[in-house]
Amino acid sequence: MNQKESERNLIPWDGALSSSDFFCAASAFSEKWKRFNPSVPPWLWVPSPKHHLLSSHKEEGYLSLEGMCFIKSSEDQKSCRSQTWKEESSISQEEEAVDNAALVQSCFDEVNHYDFHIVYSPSYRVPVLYFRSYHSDGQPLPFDEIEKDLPNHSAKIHLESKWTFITQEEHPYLNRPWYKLHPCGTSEWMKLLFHGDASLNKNGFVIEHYLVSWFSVIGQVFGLKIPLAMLETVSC
Amino acid sequence: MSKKEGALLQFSPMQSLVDEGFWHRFSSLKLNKLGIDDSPLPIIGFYAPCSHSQVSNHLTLLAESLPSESSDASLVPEPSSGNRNKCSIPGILYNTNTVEAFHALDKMKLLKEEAAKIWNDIVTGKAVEDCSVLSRFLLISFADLKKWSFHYWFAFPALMLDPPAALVNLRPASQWLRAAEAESLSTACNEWRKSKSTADVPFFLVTIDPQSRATVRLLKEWEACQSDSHKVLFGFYDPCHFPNTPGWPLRNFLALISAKWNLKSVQFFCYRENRGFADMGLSLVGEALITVPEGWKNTMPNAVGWELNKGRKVPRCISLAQSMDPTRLAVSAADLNLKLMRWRALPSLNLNALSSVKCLLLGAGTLGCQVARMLMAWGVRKITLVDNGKVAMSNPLRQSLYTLDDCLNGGSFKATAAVESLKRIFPAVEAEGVVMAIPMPGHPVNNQEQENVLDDCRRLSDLIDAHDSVFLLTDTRESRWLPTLLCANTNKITITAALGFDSFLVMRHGAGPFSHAHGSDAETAIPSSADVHKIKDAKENHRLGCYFCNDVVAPTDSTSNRTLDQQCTVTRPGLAPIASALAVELLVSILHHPQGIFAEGDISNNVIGTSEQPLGILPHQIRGSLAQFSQMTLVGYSSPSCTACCDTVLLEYRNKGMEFILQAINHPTYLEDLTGLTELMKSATAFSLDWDKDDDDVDNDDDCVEI
Repeated sequence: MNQKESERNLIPWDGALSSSDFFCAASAFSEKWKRFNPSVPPWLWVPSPKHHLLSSHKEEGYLSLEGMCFIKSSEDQKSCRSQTWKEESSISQEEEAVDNAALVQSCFDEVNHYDFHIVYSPSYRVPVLYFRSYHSDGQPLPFDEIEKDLPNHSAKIHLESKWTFITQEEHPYLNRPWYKLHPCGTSEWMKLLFHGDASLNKNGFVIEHYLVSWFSVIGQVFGLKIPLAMLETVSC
Repeated sequence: MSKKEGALLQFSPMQSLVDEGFWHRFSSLKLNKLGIDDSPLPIIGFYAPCSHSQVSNHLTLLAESLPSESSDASLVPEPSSGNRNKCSIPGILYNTNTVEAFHALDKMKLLKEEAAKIWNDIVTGKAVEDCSVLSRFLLISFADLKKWSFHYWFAFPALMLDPPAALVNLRPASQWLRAAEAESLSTACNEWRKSKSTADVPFFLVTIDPQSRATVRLLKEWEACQSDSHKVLFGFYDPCHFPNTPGWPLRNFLALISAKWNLKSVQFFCYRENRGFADMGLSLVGEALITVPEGWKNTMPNAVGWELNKGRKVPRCISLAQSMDPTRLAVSAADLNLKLMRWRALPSLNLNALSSVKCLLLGAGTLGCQVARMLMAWGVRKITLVDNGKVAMSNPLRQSLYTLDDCLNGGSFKATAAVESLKRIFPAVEAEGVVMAIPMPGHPVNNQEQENVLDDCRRLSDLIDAHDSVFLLTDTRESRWLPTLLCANTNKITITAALGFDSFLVMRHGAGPFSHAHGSDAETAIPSSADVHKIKDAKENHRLGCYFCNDVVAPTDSTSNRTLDQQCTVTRPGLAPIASALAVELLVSILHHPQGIFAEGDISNNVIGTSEQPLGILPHQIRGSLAQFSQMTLVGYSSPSCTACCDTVLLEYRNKGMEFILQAINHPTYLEDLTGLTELMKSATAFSLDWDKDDDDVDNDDDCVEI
């Protein structure tokens, strides 16, 4: 055990992790996810160097899971977004050639696309889940529509919980408003998950399993489950 | 399921998806680089083979579809390469500067031009080298950068075979191929998709040898594929998910195959994946019959391809105001801040009360500017400022809403400049400025001015009626008299802030004398004089005082005949921000107190956390001293002789209205006589002469009045 590790074992863990630890945790998480969760799209690391004067390490970025589709059942569909267009811009029948080869679609499925990013927050020193949703034409969904997609028990948790608080803030890398689960409570419940057991800090165990444990809680808001196998404490 | 021979081969139209990042980047480009230049802009679209059994892959535009924003970069976007999820497809954007120009674009002409490019690439052979050009697309748009809405319309030009191709059969690849072939093809496709050099090549050839070994090749290897014993399939990344219809890219692929290689019968392979891996159950193999006449390829074919919007041939529109309009972003950030406070520290915070309370600020000077800012910080949105002065050169230093610009050309009116400043800070504020003087007792008016002064009185009365809470922030004592009276009459929450050189007073006025304490703040009917006494006894002891309750003289002219240093209100600069902040916090506490204006006055003690209210105690008066860096809370009760809020005065006002006001303004002793202060002073003077009287006599002396 080198000196840094032995020091770590003495300090009671505060539930947070450093930026470079986040990168390790992210690698471990995405690798495990791919292994145990092959039916779902993988988490990809998106490197995003920011031009900080203080930034000393190169591995800055975030985890990205994009393109989760949530198909609305036909009862839920309401064409409240129907456009009433004047015929100024349409194309008259004589202009475009008659084309029988194009399949005419009669039923239009409403699909909500979800993107998730796991971004490290330097001020809270914990990962933060950012997410957004949009229709197939790119129109972003407001939060009250996203809420309808959340599993029933999650909406209740959200309202009553003191741990989860969904806010809309500017994405730190993309500079557009995304929704996020506010990180204030994260370090506290992460500490609970690991029972504040400093001895678990041996050999970087905490770092390796940090995101897996973190996601097992956060993912529930969206009904994203972690397969049990991922949570097993297999030493890699 | 296989289709009958000879049926028309139908294709599933390509669908578009524009990520909001594309519009963000485009808006930025337009504002910073392009300006009104509306020449066509090359862009890049992305698609990939369908990877979901229920959702088609879309031709997607992202931020990176556009050229970079940096000034030295050329106006050509950088194509990505080797990304298996993003095949780069060249496209072109025509963005107009007005919505009329958008509707007036010659759509058929533009479609024909792009189709001609595809045809040209086919004829010259470029499409064989770089097959992504077969899916070239066109986008027309109008970006409304004031409303942050974007009108747009895609076209995916498809060259038409004439007569159209017929479908011989179509079935899942796993049914058409033998088991060993299917496995080999899967492996070959996965390899193709893994390799950076071929992962994003959307059209390819498949050869299957008699030993069931499948090979995936580039189009340009066509010559090498000529072998009788091999099966040949024309493969392409199919974005469509429908089990019975091939996707749109096949159309131009067939045009290429016919024009370049003269084939009549084409076996095609719609390549689809499941969760990133080749799936022969979802992928389709079909046979098409091309029956175009000899010489068809000598002339450019017709083209179709404008994308339908829910079945109609009209453009689409997307509104991104929520995420791009700076005012909306400011509002949601401000709301977020307050909501966070409620979540983490103060669950009983009543944000609705704060955002709906209407505040009237009398005075837009050092106190008024600071109070306005603090109110906005608490989420108050409705603010009216009243001031008849103009911004002077010395003002910007201490009056935090003004800058030097407001002082130029004689100076803007403070009320107006303050409102503009508030809107610059937070555009969603509903702020109004009223340039008006407040009529004051002791400043008599002559007959000519009388009507104007009465108008001002009425206007002030209307303003007070229209608001929920009034801040008295003027720089003289007498200017606070009329507002105090009017507020007491209508039972409005009234907060006074007054500054000395190094001391301040912040207080909330008690409820008016004719109000009930049971939640109703409506005026009661004018009571009879008998009732007045009853109410007086019952309420007078509990009603908190106003700014004038402790005064023994009526407000009078305090501004004339003063020395210069007395005329300029000189205070230590730190006082106004402190007092203003306390005034606003006091209001917030009142709004959160269950009894509101009727709440008792608390006194602070050194024991922390003894208050029942989440925001802490609700004092009546706060007096602070900078000389001592100290502050204390006091309680004062209303005086039955108060020139501003006692029931005698208010009754007189209710009975005589403006006539009463005018008398008070013109005759300084009128109020003192009315309230009995004159009597009080007479008796006080009388009392001081009788030093020798016994103490007993004091109690019996009728001239003494209990204060």
